[in-house]
Amino acid sequence: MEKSRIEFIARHYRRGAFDSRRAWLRLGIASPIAWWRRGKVAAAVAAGAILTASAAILCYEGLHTQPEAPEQQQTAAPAPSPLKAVKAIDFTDAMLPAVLREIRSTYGVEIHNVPENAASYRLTLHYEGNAADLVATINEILGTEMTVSEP
Amino acid sequence: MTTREFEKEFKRLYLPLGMYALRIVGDTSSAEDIVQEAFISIWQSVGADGAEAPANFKAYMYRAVRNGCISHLRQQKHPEELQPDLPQPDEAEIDTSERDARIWQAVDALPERCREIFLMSKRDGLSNDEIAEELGLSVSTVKNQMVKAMSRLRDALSTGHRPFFLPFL
Repeated sequence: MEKSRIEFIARHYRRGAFDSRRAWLRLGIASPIAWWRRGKVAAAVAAGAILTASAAILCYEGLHTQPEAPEQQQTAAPAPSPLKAVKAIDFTDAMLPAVLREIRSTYGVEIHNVPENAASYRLTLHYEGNAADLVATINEILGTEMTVSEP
Repeated sequence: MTTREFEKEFKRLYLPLGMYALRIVGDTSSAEDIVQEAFISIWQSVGADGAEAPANFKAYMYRAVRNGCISHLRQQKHPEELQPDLPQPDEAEIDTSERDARIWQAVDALPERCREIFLMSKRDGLSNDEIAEELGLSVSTVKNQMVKAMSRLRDALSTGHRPFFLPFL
């Protein structure tokens, strides 16, 4: 009985799963911003970044829909930093190294301080936003301390 | 129910409820989702409006998770996994969930190398020789680490179930 119980847990064990502290954060109740907006497949990792990303999209669209804005200002705007570029990304039960590879190629950024046991983390996520917020949110969920920079 | 009260209950019940769901659906990610959804649902009922929590919050949450599991299995179209009369969670099942939770926590708390060896053995089915070769360790080191892991897990299982007179011995 004891042996089968231990083997059951071993078969299903995943590092970081069922962490009540992180799950509480994902729930978003303690935060003034309730960001848990997921469907069955969409993931926890979206976090506050969904709202941040939405705000970013609104600002971005706002820049392009102001008819009164002088043309000179629009053309003078600097190219957006890869860290702030808003893009969409999806994963289902992907290992963290695969997630990081995709973030690097999608956003054109570098990610540092990747944990040695990265392969033991798996993520399911739907995210639309920038790379800096995405990595910060993954850090919050997984308890990692990764950083992101321009290449 | 205040946020603080809800948080306390959440942190007390999240892992055992997760183990209960895991026993039914057999998938860690789905079990996490089901428990999360159950807590979101109850919070929407009792949290936002400051309504009173159900009298037996724990039993209520187990029933909510059970129902979430049934919905999940139906959506996944695995009727063969859904027993015709999936019983209401009783004390025995709750006790099983809480014991599973203690083992999960104990695995979490193992030193990293010890946990790695334990999982390679019990999850991946590798022999001590294969683990030793894979990790570049001696077979005796692997055996020692396995003894250590199993000892800690058994300790975790016995915690909370020691006879009351032991402190006086």
